Amino acid sequence: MKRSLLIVIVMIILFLGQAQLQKKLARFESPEQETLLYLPSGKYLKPLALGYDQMLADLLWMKTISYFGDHFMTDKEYPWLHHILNLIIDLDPLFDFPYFFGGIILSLEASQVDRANQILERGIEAYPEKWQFPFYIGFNYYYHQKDAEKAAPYIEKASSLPEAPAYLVPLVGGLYAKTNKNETALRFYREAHRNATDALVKEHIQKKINRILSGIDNYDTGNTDTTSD
Amino acid sequence: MNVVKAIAVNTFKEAIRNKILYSLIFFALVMMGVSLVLDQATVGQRNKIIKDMGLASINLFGVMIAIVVGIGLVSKEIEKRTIYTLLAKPVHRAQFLIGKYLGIVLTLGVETLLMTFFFFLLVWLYGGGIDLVLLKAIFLIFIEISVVAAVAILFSTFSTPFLSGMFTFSVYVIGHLTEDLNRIASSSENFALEKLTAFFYYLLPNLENFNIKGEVVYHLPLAPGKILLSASYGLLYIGFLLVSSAAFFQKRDFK
Amino acid sequence: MTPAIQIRHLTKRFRTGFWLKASTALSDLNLEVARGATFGFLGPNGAGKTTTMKLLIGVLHPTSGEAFLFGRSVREIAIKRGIGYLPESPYFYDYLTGSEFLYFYGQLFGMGSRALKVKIEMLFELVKLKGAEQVQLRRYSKGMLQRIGLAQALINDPKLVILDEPMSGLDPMGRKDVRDIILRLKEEGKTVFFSTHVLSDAEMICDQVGIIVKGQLRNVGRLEEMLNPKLKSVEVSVRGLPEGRVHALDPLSKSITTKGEESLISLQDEEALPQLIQWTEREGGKIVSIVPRRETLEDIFIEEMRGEAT
Repeated sequence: MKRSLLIVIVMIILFLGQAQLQKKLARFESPEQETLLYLPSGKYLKPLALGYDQMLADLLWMKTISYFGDHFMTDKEYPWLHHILNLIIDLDPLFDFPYFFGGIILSLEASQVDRANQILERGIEAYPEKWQFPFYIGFNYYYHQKDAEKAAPYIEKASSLPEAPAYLVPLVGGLYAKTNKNETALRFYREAHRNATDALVKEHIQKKINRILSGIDNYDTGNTDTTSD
Repeated sequence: MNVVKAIAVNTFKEAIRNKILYSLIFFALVMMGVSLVLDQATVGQRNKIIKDMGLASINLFGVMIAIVVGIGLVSKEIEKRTIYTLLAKPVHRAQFLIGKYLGIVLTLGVETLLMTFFFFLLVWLYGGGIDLVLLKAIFLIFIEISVVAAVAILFSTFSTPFLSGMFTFSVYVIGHLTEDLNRIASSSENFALEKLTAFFYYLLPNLENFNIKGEVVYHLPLAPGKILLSASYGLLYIGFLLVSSAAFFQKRDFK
Repeated sequence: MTPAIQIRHLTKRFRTGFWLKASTALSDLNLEVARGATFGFLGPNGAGKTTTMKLLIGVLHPTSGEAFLFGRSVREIAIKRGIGYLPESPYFYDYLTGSEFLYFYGQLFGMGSRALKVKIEMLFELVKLKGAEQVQLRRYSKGMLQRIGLAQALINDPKLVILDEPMSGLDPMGRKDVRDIILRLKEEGKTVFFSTHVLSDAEMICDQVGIIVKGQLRNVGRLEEMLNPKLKSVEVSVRGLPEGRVHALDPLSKSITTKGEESLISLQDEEALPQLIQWTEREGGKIVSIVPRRETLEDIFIEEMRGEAT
């Protein structure tokens, strides 16, 4: 009886001891040291996944969410976000969420527009039919970098894809207008007019063309009101 | 044939009575853990993740059981000296080996079936409906773990359980890398190295052939005949392993 | 008629250890066991008894030489239909119950389940394990395992039964039961080939013995022929003699030991016996017992072992 009591006491002491040490050790880990740092590039990670690529991508995806959450609540710096997203894409290119997440969060929240666009380019590669990816690239160029010239071809591409919303068409024209290219805008509108099936849209585009032709909207001088159309 | 059947049933009985199926509890716990994390961490794509995780867990548990049980099949009989009485009966050593193998395949089959049931239940609970396409991947996973079990038996006919386990695990890992091995070889300038890797490429099982987890989760079209061809490849490879095992086993002394 | 067992120039070498050092377990063994004989295979531990038996049932392959059972090579699987084998300190599938275990082994002979059921019941009776049919073997004691092992060796009604140390690990009752079973097999006309290092067991039931020492057969033959029928000595126990007087017998006896009142006098042969009896009466002593000592298997065995040592 005495003996078993002793054993229980020793067990408790050892258990509490290891718990204390664990507490101390946890303090050594500074938050600066990102565990993500140790992830190799996707080129090496993919063979090492041994066929569990999708599962590994999912686990990294959950890691991404918590990484984002942690930094969003603290320093709002995300130096490793694009790296881990690229890894996920390497492992599971058809997983579409990381493209959306990277394309929007990296530019909007982390101000890493080029990296956001790089991820979106990979999205186009994986899903050439999804209009959102070129659209976001165009948006990033225009909104964050005020570069309508680079944005326009992407938005144009987006507007040509299935399921693209109709409001992209005037947007494209507007963007070309911003780049002071009456000719290009006109060419685009005429093409859109030819492709449009809806009578109302057709009428709308025709009006637009007429305005350019009549000189009311002169893109070469920048005298326009794209927003109203 | 009756002899093989009797040994297979006995092997299955051993696995069941040694509580191998308790591993299902761990499978269930892992899956429930995954779904808990899902509730907290992810915004969308819950369905995809639960399918990925489920298929991966079925695969991992299957491989683990194939290795753990497989390396013990023959060595335990020798260690516990049960093989003496068995081989004193009119039983060919090859019959003994095939019976043992079919016993473990039966065990793996039942285990896979139960895991599949639990997995489908979970997918259904998460609103994913009943996605029968997933069964294609599970079928090939079953072929893969059957190959792994045959590898384990081969090693255990001439090696200790510990070494057999290490060897089998290595073959499992390399079996997923043979494609890369081949790529390295074909880009190499060294003729001897190229031939050597080519030799290993065909000698070792290409386990990536049995991996269509990604394809079924995304409902991608599979190349016509892919499943049939992969399964046939697996069966031929298992045959190759069993014949080799029997050849080693035939020569062996049981001190 | 071909003998039940025929062993010709059987040699077995093992390569063991990292450097595969060769050691000889059996060298040039020649042996014949007639049908219907009960053959005791004797020898100290490590002499090669178990190796011989394993070579006979084919779990070991000979380095050279050959063995035949009923005239057919041991390499043929079919000969095993007529053989029963009990290994030394058997260890069986402990997750099976006693009757499941016998059922499984019966299936290996292709026996139908109805015939097996009857046979199994009979065997449980024979080895006195009634009531333990539904108990898992992991709950069996060592003696019970030995008994169920014997039962599995008899499941196919074999013509030849090979038993490796069948009495080891048994209590006196168990030894007697095993002896009875062997005697019964003998009555049924079966050949029994068994090994033991307990000589009294062999002496009681064997009609033929072979002695093996360090992998070589030293002596083989019928037990009556091997044992010298002549008396080795006669031991007489005497009490009530006046102190010291017993040494008057020194010229007559081989040795004398005195313990208190009683003296043990060992005589060379029977001829001096009447003289001793008369003398004792004259001296006022009393004869307690007279025990004649014949040569035993143990004496032969020890002699063989001694021959090995020199």
